[in-house]
Amino acid sequence: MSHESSETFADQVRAIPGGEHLEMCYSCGTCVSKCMIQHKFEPEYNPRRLIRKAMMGMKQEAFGDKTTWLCSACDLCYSACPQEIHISGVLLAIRELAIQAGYTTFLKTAVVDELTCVACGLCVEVCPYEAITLVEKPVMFRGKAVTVAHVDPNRCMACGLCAASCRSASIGLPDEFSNEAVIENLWEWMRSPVVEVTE
Amino acid sequence: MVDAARHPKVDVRTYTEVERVEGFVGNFKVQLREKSRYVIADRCNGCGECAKVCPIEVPNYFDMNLAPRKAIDVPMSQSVPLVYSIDMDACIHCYKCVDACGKLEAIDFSMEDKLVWEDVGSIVVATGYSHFDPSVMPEYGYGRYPNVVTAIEMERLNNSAGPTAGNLIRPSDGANPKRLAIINCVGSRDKRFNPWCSNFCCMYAIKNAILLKQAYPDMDITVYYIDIRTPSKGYEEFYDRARKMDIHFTQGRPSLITEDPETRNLFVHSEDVALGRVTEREYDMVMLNQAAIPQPDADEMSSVLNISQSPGGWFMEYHPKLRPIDTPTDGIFLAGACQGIKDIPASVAQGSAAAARAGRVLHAKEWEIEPVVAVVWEDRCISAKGKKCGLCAKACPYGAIEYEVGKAAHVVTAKCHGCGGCVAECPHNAITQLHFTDAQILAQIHALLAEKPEEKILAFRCNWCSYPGADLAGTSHFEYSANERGLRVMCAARMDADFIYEAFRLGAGAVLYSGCHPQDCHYITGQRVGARRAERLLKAFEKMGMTPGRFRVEWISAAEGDKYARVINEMQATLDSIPKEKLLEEIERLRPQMEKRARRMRETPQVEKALEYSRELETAMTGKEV
Amino acid sequence: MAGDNGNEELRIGVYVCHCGSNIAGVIDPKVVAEYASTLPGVVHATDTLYACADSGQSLIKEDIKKYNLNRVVVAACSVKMHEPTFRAVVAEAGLNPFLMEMANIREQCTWAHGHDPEGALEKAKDLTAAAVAKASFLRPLDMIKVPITKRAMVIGGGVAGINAALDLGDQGIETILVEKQPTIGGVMAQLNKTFPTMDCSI
Repeated sequence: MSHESSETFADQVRAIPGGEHLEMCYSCGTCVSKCMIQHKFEPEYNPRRLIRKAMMGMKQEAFGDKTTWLCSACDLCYSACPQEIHISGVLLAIRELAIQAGYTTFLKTAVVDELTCVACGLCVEVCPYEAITLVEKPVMFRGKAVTVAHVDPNRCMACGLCAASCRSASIGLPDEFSNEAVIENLWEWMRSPVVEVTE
Repeated sequence: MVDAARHPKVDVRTYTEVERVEGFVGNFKVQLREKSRYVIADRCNGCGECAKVCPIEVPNYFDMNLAPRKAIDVPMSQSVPLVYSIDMDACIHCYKCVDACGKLEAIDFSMEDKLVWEDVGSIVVATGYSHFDPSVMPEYGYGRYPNVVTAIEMERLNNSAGPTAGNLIRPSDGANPKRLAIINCVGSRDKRFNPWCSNFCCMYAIKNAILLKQAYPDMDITVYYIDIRTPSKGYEEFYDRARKMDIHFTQGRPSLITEDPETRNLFVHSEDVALGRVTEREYDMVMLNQAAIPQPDADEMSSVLNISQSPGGWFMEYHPKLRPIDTPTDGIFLAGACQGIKDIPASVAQGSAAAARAGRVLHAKEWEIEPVVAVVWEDRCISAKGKKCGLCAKACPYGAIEYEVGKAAHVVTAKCHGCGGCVAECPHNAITQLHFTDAQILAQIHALLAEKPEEKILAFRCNWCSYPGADLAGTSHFEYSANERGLRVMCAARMDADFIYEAFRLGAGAVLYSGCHPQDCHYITGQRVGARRAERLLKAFEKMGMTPGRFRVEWISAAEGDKYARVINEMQATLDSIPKEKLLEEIERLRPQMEKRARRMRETPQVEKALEYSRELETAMTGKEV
Repeated sequence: MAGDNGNEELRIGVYVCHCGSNIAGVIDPKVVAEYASTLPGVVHATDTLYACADSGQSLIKEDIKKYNLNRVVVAACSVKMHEPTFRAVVAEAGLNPFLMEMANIREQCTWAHGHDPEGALEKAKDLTAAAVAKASFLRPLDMIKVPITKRAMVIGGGVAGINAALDLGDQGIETILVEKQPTIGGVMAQLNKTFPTMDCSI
């Protein structure tokens, strides 16, 4: 980490709407212990530390931090923050800079089956992150200008709402969260013996 | 405490409230309400027989309502004075206490509140602070989980004179807690509630941790903190002592407390910042170290005493560094936490300092006050010519003007506080204010608007609120347009309509009319006299077709430096939004009306001289013949 | 001279304070002083590093005698800060204290217009000129003397109030200590021992 770049990075974050209140953080850790991602999904997730990295100009470390890519902007931490920092705003500002610098998410984001997509636009409506747009592009076997859904992987949080809403199963998450895998999981659960819940 | 009661020169009046304060330095009149105790203080010997027989129990405020007292009782056994009082809301009038009191005959059910006036030369305000109620923070469960208590409740529970005689028990089951969490900054350093650091809570947490560790060596105590602040003498050493006693300090502000409904044990969720890891630990009891906040009646006290408040509601000192004990009102001084949160040594020191500052006044044979009083030109007063007027007397907040048709109005100098309201209200310019004469102020207006008046924002500010407000803008380096030109008078009441007309006649781009908020006015109702005039002016200018915003009325307190800067910048924006030709055309168009309205001003003694001087000054300033 | 000064000729002295770099860091006080020297009634105008310091005060006092000044204008800080100081200075030199006028070119000028040194300079000149204008019409005044009731009231019987009342009492001043609760003691009486020496609180 070079010192000259440190100020610039914090300034860059501040310059993006949402990133303004970066320097107000006094590292109390309330956001970390409030966070559901940290709790249920990724123990290394730590918005306090990411904000600290941004403040200290640790650009590469910040861009490579899982926290940069995982915040779903649920804003549980926002209402708990004693400094009233809009933490998800700061995190998204850092993510924006990471994307500009060519970093991409490590999440397994939604993919579109362009052969079957009819561009009904339902997924565009339901996506909470405005990651899906309808674009016109050549699709093999279908023609030179076909309108299909397109997922911006940097915005997609892999929540799966699009997959659940799609009527032609043309959009979905890969691997363990694919439609097939989820259905298989459900089957397994339904076949499992009933557990009695007692007081 | 007992020293105060025994001191031959100190008269302790408990259960008494301040209702009104009148007068000025050296000569205050204070009205006190001595609330009825229903017990005659001179006869009560504090034996407590009455409380023994009383069948009614009520919560005791002194024990944070954790324990009861009787309907007739004292808050604590060491009360000073040791005089009982009856809580009439709870009393069932069984009169058992009267029988128990017997021959002393100290109980008197017919007693009523007494209003008394006291003459004093100086007042020390030491009204203290209050405690933040953490029940507004649902994440900590105070009020829902019985074993979550506040710091001051802990003080009572761990106090040998408290309801449990010093045996710390947890409220849910009366067991001694084995694991205790202390959470700092509850409602402090929290922009959602109180942005300030409450000063003493870190030390308070450490003190309680040490006391408990001494009493219960096996107790597991963890202090959750954001930062530990131990700035005064011996404090850091005290913190070291706690660390050596195996008290745990965890950096990390808990986000949530949950409760096991069966055991009533508590789970504290927080990040351990040093580890960078989230922890969830189980405790038997949690103490919330709550913020210190201004007394709930601080607003009321500030208007009774006529002193200002800083942001947050603390009483405002004359100067934060150089005159921290004085208030802007001569003769009224501040001591203790009412001025800003303080721990005990600082409060004691400030108490002594306030006594010394008050003594400075009280040991003087006489005190000098500024002669900025009003004076009548008797030959100009139309009342002397047998006409009805009396507008001056109507404007005076102090009843200092004697008015009778056939005689010139007369200002009683001793009663005049020098707001200048009468001067501005007099339609015949028959009164002037020393040191703030029309001639002096007009000469200033002319100087401030000598060059490029259309670019200037002329700001009239009162001496007590908006002038110091502008000072605070500077002290805080809140930048605002350098086209502002400020002018100080004592009160908004003095801002004569003629001054405003004259400013616009001279071509001022914009004029600000600013003073105290009505409740802060230094002259009781002076601001209202000024505000009514400002309303009339606003209407008149609207009728004339003046661009809105060129004349602006704003009430800005001494604490509102940010507001002062904002208002000036907004006025600059207004000016910037008017095309220059249009502005100049408007100034020219309105000039005859302004001239006509201000024509009477020229009859005022010395004003012609001032205008003559101003021409000379303007020539010197601009290098042009005027 | 046209000012209202009775029959006396106006002889105004103007002192423009640097206040170290607080004022001089934004504008040049010399320029303001030179400007002030051209104003009607001004016979002497100069800049001074710290008008409120001993050296600044002596300068004003000496000049009053040297130039036979009958009005003094100090362009420096807020009247809330140093008006009493400079009133005392002119009084010591034999002038009536009300013949001194201040222009606030620190709090209300350089501190608020650091971004606009040119604008700040123009404003400082105008504020100084306005103070000269007011000074031209100042009249000597006497302070009003009021009697003192040698009694004090302390509102609030907590640790600060009790201590203030005791100190006032020890000074021989009759003091009324008013407390709204039935007992004095305040929060401190509720505490169990106090830091850092663990004394009993009562």
